[in-house]
Amino acid sequence: MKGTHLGEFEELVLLMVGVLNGEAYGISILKDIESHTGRTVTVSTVHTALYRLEQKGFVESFVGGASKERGGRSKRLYKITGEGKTAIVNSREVRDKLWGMMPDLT
Amino acid sequence: MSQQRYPAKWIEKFLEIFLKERFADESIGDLYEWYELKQDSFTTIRFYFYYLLTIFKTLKLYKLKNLRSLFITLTELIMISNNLKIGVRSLINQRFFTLINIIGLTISLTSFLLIYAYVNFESSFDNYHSKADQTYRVLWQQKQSGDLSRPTPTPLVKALSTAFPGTIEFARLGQDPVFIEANEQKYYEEEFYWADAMLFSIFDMPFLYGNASQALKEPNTLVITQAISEKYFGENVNPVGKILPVKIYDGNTELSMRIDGVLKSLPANSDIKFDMLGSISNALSLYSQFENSWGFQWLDTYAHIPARSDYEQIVSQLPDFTSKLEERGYSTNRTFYLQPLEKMHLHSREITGAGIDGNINYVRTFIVIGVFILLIALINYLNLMGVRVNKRRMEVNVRKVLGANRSQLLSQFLTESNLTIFISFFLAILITFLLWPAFKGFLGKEIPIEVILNWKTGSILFLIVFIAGTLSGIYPAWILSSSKLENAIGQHNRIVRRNWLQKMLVTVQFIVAVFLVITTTVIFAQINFMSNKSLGFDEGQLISIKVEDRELQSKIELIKQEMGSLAGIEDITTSSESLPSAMQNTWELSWMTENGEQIAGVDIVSVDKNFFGALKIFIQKGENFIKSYQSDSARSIVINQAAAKMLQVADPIGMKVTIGGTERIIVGLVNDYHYNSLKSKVEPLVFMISGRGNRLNRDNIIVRLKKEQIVQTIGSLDQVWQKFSKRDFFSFHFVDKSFQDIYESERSFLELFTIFSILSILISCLGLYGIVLFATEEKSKEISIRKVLGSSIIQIVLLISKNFLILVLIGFILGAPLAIYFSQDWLSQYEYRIAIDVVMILFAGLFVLLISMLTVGLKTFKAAMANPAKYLRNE
Repeated sequence: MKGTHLGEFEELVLLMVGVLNGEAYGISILKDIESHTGRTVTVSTVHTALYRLEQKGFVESFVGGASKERGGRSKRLYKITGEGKTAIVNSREVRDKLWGMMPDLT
Repeated sequence: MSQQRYPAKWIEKFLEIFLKERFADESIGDLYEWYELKQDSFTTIRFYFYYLLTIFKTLKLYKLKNLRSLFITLTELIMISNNLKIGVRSLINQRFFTLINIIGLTISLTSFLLIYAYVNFESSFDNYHSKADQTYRVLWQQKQSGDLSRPTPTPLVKALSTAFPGTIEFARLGQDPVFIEANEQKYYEEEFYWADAMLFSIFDMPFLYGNASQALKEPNTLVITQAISEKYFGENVNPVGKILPVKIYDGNTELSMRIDGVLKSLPANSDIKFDMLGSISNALSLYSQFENSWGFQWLDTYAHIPARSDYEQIVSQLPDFTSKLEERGYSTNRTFYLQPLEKMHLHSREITGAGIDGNINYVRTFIVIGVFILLIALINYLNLMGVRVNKRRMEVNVRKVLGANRSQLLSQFLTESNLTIFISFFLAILITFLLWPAFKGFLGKEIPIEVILNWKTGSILFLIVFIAGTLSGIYPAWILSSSKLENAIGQHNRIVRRNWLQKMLVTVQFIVAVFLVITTTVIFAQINFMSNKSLGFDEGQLISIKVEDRELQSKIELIKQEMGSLAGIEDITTSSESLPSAMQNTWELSWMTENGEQIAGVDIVSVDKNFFGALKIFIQKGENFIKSYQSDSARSIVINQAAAKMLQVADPIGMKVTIGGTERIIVGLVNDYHYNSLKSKVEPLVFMISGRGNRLNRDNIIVRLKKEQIVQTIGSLDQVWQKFSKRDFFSFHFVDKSFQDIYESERSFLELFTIFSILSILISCLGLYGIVLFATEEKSKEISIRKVLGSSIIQIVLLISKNFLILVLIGFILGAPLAIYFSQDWLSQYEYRIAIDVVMILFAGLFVLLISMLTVGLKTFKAAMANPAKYLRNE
């Protein structure tokens, strides 16, 4: 289906949103990506990915609480939707299938 | 852990303005956290790099607001300022005053902008040349009278170059109309000039085609303007090297001339105007008889003197130079004058044959009026702000009690006044743009809008607006700060009003009003006088026909005879000068007195014996040419009164004088008739019947038509013309209309002056009305009590008006002498002028009185008519 294709980085962010389970927002996702993958990403990259995922209907956002560390700005928290879950499950199944077909590489 | 740091505040603000609401908080908040998270983990440079990169990447198109919501954000951002909020509220609250203020200021700023454009344009003439400050125009000056004239004789440049070697470069221009046959048509090119090649190095004249350093170096070469090139060769064609057949009208020869270059169209603000330039070497050989003739002047001479010291030396040695010329047998009572190029446009009105319409008097007058209009509007504004203070004192005092300090109060008023002024300013710019085409048409000048669209103008205007806004903001704040806090909220506590200042300002307005009305009246009377004064000849039903072609000129007597036999013709004559006359031929006249020989320049007019009869010029003494026509006509001359005065003899009839080497006898003396407008003096004239072959050809037919059937008569004149000339058009003008046309620039000046005067009086009245409005409001209780106690309405009106009438009187006493002085100065540019009389001045005074009475009276009358119960019931 066109427009719902999951990019590599988008898939990563979508997974993180799932992992963080309701605590996902720009910085928490950024921190986890950096600690788990060692990649350095900018905040706006994460935001862009989140915005795209939201457009595709894979995540939904709601306004969370503000805090002093944020200069009094409220957070925008993300939660994975049913479609989002289907999307990562699908993508995992594809991978598992392909891994199953993989000859021993070692 | 390092101390908590935050991202730059302006970046936050910036993002907040431009990002959609959906993204703003998310991005800014996350940036905060990111900042805290990362500031220790990177090197400083890397950190800031990432930081900026993040911000830059945040600005994605889909995250940005569209223009509409961006605009709303910006307005909101500005509106956050409390001052502005209050300012706008108070402006809207006091709608009427805001309206008065904005109307007054807008009118005045628009007028100022337009006047500024005019003045700027007029003073920009020819100062764009890179050598403008080292370039001079050489003028021919009469020693005794100091009169200047533009044309210079042919040998001048050679003589000057010999006397001051190596210091001056010359460029000459000599007009000589030509005919050009192209595309099987014959064109008359009036703006053809012979020119030196130096012209292009002295003046900045960019070439479209061709090379400036090579142009006009050889004989038979031409440089033309873009418009002429397009006329003969079509658009986007490079005509360099092509040949154009040119028929020289005065020289009676035909030349094949090669195009050396095409000039880009000359800017509107230049007085060095031409359509075609021919190499001057052609003219020098063509008119070789003038090579050593100091008596015949026809060239414009421009001198480029690079060194200031050389210039001073040349000026100091000029008397010596002219006396040497005299020694060499060239007798003269003339010398030369070097007019700086930058003064050429505005200071050439007095110069004979200058052909420049710039007038420093107009420019000065408009500067005065521009400043006045601005002054009046500012005074209005100050006064209205001042009186409004009384209305605002409660608000101000509450603010004071609540702890506002002086600077906070000041900033409130500054915001308000600047707000008003800026609104007016933008309206004025808008109106100026809308009025621009009309303005150009009115002046009849192609003024480019760039005159006001530049940084210099922008900064001047901004400065004016800023000063005005600040002054009018400080004024009320200053008044209010004088009230004491302890009785700030007292009901009965009137703030000491700076009445004297208000009175003074209103008086200044009246002075200006009186000044403008008197000046307008004087200008009007002068122009009226000039257009109605008898010219000394009868200009009714006279038409003047120009005979351009040499061949036709030789048949002019025949044409005259045929035309004269037509039924609708009352009288007919021929002359070397049309009417109005430019007087193109100045010759030296010498005569014997007790003190030896005297020499002076006179204008020569070649006429026939019908001339004085046809024009109905009164012959005072002696006779017309008629009687001496047969015997000695070639030597007989008739002079005018001015010439007789110059000769200083009681009866000039029979006197012998020498003109151009030939002895002549004066046979008649005629009245001084105004051959040109009343702006110029009637100069000494000599009328003669001359032979053909020089530049004194009679090339005008002047016809007096019978009053009936003028159209038919002109038709039959055209038929006669067609019989003789197949190629030239029959072109004629009505003499009376042409004389009126001369005052065209005066009339448009008067119109402009009147418009601006009316506007400034209108603005004054607006301001006065505003002040009276407040005065009556404040005195409403007093008026009511007086009425209850039995005052009549007249008494009450007088009570309030009295103060203002005294101010009008003071304004009149101070303004009238100022206006008289200025008007005298203005009138002095006219040779024939009116005297300023008491009636005019009293009329102007009464006019101002009446207008201010109306303004003041209307409002006070209304206040006096009001039911006293309305104001007293609360007591």
